[in-house]
Amino acid sequence: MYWSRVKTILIILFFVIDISLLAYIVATREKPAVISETTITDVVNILNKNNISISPSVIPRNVENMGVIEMDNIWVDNEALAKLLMKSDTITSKQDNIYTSAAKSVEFQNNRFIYNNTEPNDHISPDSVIADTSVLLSEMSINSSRETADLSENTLNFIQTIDGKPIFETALTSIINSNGIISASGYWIISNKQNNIVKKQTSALLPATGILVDFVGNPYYNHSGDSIISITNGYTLGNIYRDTIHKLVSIIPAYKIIMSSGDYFIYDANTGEFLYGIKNEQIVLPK
Amino acid sequence: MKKEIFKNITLVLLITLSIFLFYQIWFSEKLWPDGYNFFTINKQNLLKTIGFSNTTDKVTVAIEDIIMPKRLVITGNGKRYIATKGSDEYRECYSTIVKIIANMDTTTSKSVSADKSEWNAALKSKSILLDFGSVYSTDLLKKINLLLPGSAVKDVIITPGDTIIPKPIMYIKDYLTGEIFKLTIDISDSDIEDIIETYVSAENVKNMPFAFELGFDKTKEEGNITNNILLDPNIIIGLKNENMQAIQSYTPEIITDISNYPLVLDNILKLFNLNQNSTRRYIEKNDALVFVDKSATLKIHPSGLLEYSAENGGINLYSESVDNKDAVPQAISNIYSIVRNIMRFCNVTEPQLQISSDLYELSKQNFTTEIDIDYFVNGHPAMILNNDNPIHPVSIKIENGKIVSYSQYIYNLNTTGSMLNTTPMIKALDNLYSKLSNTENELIVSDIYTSYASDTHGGVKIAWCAKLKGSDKIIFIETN
Repeated sequence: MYWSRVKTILIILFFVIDISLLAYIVATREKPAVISETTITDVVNILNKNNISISPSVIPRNVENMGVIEMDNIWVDNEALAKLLMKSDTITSKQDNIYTSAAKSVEFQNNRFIYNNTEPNDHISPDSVIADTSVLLSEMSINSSRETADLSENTLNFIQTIDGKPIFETALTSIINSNGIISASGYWIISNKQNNIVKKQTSALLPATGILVDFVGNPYYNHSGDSIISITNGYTLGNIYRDTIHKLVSIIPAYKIIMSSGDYFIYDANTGEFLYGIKNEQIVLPK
Repeated sequence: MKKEIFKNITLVLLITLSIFLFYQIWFSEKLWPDGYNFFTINKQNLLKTIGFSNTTDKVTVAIEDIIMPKRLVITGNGKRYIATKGSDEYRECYSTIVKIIANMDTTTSKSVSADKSEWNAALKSKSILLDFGSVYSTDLLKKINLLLPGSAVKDVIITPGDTIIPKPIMYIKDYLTGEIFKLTIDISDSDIEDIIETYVSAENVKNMPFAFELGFDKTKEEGNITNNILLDPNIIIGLKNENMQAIQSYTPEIITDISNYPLVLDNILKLFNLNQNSTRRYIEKNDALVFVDKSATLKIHPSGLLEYSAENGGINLYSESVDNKDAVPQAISNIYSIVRNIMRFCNVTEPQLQISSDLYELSKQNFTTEIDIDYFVNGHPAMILNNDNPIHPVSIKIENGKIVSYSQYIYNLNTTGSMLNTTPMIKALDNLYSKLSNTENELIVSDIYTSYASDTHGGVKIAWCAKLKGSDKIIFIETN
């Protein structure tokens, strides 16, 4: 009887201890920090003084926790991918890096592919352009379930995302008509299958404000007057590996600063390092 | 009763859970300030003590192994015994000679000048030639107990004394000035005589002349001999076919499948100041594994090639506080350590290694150079064939005392049991002349030797390799 009471007391005691420890672990888990409005205002002023205009509303307030992610690439063999994109096991001709099957062709330039179909015979409803196009892309083995898209005229731009964050280099542009996809071109179709993804430990990124202050030292923007229209948080493959096909890639957290001219610059979100940019459609690298 | 059993189980689970949660908190690196983590550090030490360490100790290396002479030539009684690094007889021969060197005290010896004829006469008569194959600074050679005058040396001759000077004599040729020094060494003459007698009486002794003995180093003006190709006077001329043991090469499974050996990967990355957790990993189309961080890239090909390049900085080869005289030896020692440890981690049978680049006029303030290292097997270097051009298996670029580029072929070399026959050197020289006869420059061969050449797919050929004076390029002459 005596021991029974002791055990009851110990059970209650350890239960309380365990709850406390659990609460402590949960409470000390890193919460995203938030940037103060004062900091935002200060950064906007710094940019303005350096002839860069930016609306405070485009600066992300939250500091995210993200880490490196390793992903398998479904595309390692040009011919195999061409067959997937053309939905055909038969290649009627192959010349240099251009594969043809009936009215369809796929051309490869480094890690960029260009698909063309002169006689599409699918149906895209004007009321569900994005959804229908996504279905057609899925049939071509381009996993669009995690892609975001924007539509302008007959052109859809897709970007692969992971955990809701874009992978900046995976831009896919589709040109459509009511009969289907006329052309689709893009970089880096990376498998989003769960078992092909390995997530490394996450950590708090540098705040966007810090990246913007560093941007003042970037030699490539127009120093006599320029404008930032967005700064987004996502993942990048980095520069050196944009143009090489890999079976496995590591994507790192990054910020993408987009200018009103369409030029953009990619920064490592962990170190603040400027990785590369696209200016006047040409790649620019750190000096 | 059942209630008591239930209470017991519940209590045990709660206690286990609390121990687990305590462990999670106290051994979390985030609990402690940066730079100090008592519990985590001691956890690693404890695991190591009880044998659950996840690190492999690096092997320490002796710099002497990589700067020993490439070739030992012992001449006496009209015969010549040659032992090349990597051969079975080399180790024993060198260890015999090194005991004598250890007893030499050349610091008190007075050096006098000698001329080329004395040098040649010493080589023809009873002598021990230490041929390093490359030019080393005399500071570096102190590491193998050779205290020499001059600044840069490639060959050293030791002769027994004679009736005039009854003590052994050492001849040293300074590569930079061409000056030849002659030192009397205060050791017993019989020590040198005994070594010479022992080795020239061996079964595998040869009668191979030096190039100067046949006049192959003389121009028309010097000797009225028409030589299409001139040879360095110290090249030993082989007049007959040579037999070489056939070998095969293969890349160890650890390299071809290295992703499945995370501990090996970790150890290799650490050699290059990289960490699996902080680098980005890629696999290229050819299955090469690539690690990238902001300062460097390491690539491991399944063919056995390991490549490192530093975009910023590099790997320091010596500490800031090292004395100027110790900087170069420390750097060489660290390089040797990296090469050896990579082989060890990958479970490769380690061949003899030799630096085949000149190492002189280098200092702590001026250490920018390229260093090539060869593997020696059965007394011959084992080169790599890259598009039919022979290259050294290890190549390192150093800038301001830091490794900025490194490549090493990692593979096993095993004898197959069969023998291969090479053409005589004279035929190889004829082939070389045919290859280069269109060049306008005078052809002076600074070195020519038989070599293995591996294509990294398992095939290993034998061939003659030649180097021309003033060039580091190796010319491949296939044997017929």
